Amino acid sequence: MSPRDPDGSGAARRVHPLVSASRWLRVGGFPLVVVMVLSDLEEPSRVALPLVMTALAWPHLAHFLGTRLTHRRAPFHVLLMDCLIGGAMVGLSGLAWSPTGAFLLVIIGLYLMVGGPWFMLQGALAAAAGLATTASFVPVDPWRHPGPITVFTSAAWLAFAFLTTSYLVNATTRRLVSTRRDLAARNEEISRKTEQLRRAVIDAAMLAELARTVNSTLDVDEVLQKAIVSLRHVCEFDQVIVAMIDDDGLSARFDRHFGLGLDPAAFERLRAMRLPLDEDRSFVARAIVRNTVVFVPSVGPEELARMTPVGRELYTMNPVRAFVVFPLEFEDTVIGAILFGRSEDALDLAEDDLTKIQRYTIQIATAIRNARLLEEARSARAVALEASQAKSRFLANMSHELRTPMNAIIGYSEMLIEDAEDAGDEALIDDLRKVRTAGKHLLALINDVLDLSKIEAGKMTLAIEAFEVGGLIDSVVTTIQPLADRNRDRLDVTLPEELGTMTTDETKLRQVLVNLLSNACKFTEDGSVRLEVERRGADDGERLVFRVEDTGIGMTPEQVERVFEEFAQADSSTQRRYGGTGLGLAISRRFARLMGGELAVTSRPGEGSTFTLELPARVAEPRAAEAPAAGETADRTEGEESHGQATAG
Amino acid sequence: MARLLLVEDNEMNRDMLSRRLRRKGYEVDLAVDGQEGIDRVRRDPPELILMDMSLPVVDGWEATRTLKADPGTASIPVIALTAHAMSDDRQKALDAGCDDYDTKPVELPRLLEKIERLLAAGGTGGAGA
Repeated sequence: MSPRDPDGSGAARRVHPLVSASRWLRVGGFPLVVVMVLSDLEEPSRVALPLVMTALAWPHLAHFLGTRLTHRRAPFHVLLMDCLIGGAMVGLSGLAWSPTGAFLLVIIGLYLMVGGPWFMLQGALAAAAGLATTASFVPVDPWRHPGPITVFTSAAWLAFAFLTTSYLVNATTRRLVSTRRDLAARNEEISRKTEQLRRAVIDAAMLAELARTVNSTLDVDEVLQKAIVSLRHVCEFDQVIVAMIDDDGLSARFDRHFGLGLDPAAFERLRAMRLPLDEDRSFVARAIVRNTVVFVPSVGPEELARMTPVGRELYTMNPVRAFVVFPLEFEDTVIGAILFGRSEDALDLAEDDLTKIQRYTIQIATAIRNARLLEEARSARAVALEASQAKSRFLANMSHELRTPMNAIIGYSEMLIEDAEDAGDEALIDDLRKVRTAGKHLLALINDVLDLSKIEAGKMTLAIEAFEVGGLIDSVVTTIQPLADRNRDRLDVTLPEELGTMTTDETKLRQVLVNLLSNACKFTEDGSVRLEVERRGADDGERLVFRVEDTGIGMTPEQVERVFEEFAQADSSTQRRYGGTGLGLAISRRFARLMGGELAVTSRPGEGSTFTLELPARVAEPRAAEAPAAGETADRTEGEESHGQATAG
Repeated sequence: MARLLLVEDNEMNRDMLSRRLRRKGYEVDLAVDGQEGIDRVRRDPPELILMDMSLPVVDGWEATRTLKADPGTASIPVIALTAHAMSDDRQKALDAGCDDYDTKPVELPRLLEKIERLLAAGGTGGAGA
């Protein structure tokens, strides 16, 4: 309680009032003792000065010691010194019964009250020590008859002690009362803090629950419902309405609602209405544009007058008594607003509550955003799927619609070539052959595009059959020879003695070989094109390697890297010069892989290129009995066998 | 020379192919859809049938299945002409009981070879197998 007490009020409160009041008790008590002793002495002048000096100085010295000594029991030690000093003073009386008795009586009583029996004993001992010290210097005569002043001062001393005791009892009682009051206040404080903590914990749990819902569902309505339920510990809202900013950013629209008040038809009508954001009267627009909370604790005539047409429509459908609008923010951008409403009575929300609710709105914004992103992704996928199906349909149609006239063009031109040959019209034959060649090129292009799209759609299947590799090579060379001749290239074919048979898709292999060789011839002038075939390995690991080597223009490493991509001809000028669909190598590599092999290339600019096609001699075909699940494959295998027989037969 | 039946709905293809075959000495009957093809075969069986697959009324696959299921017509060889060079069309044709197939545009020498081979086998090649 002492303002100078550096330890604070808590430490001072523990000290007995006697201790804190001791300075003034000493100032009053010691002079009394001095008078009491001096009045009893025959020659008081011998000791008067030191006694008076001590009586005047000690109270202040004691106070100084009591306040400066940091030891917790220092005031009590000073009290014991009081006993010693007082005892020494009283001892000068030669232990006369009146002052000595009065002194000891007071010491025993006071100290018992202040510090209990043990402290009383200490005080008594200290007093006895003081008494003994000085009494040894004077003649001891306890039963001496005291003078009237001594009796009076002894009585005064007792009275002083009595008053002091009374004061102390009173002070102690007061202190008890105030302590109890403090305790009650502190209890109240503790329960208030506990309640706050409990609410904070509930709030955190609710928020976590909402966040979990946001993460686990894409259903915004579920999130809104959860938010209302979770917010019950803050405020009982019975409806929530979400408005989202339109794509143009100039207006907003009510997007969804949850809770009382609105039937679906009414909300659909509301949904169609635009809410211009430059309309500052609108509570929702204000929350969005200013990115601030708009709180209307009670809807009165003033608020009604301020409402925009859309707001009034909403209010007419669903009169709320109070509402609060929060901006919905996602990644630092306001995407809309959310209105919490109460239809029964007014709202009483503190700043703290608004902050709390705002934390929920962040979760809601995330949920809405997630749902929107999913919707966008879904519709994008639907569009992509539709486009892909349209592409497939287009390709299937193109196949039919383009091939039919191509059949006619090629067929009739062949017929006319036969006619012209019969008639011996050489000029006509040449022109008709050009028509046929152009037609066949166009058909090749259609076939390439179809092949590629079928491969991409995973619809390309293999027609596996056994055939003589030598026969295939012969027919490929026959096809390619004219191309080699055109660029004055020498076409060398290196084959082993016995090539044997292969079991794979002959048509696709032929297509790959023709493609590789025609490319080699196309990009080589006055050089050589070499086809080398060899058989490697045995049994299941048996493979055929077809190497097509030319001495043509070659490719840079960059070109090599892209050569198997669609339309990856070195550049557009190359395409103009050398022609071709730009799809051949892409298709060839895919065919090679379909047949369980690989197509690779090495090349140097100016020196030529080498394409190496390596294929298993037999494509693994699961036997029907062992692959019941592979029905399609089994059918094909059976079919291909019968086809093989038919061809062989 | 042998008598063939060409079942083909596209007029140009029908005209072109029939004229080229006749020029090679075959007698060629014509039908424009699957049902007409079946009717013609039953009324006046040819030695070999060239069957387009994408046909109106009854398609080529169905027509072939019908003919191959009938003991009276099962032995007549059928060559499927698949408009699309697609292996599944071809496969479906073989599954339907066709004895061989060729893709359009027709390469006449190749087709003639197949016709001759089937005619030489006496109409027994793989039918209904």
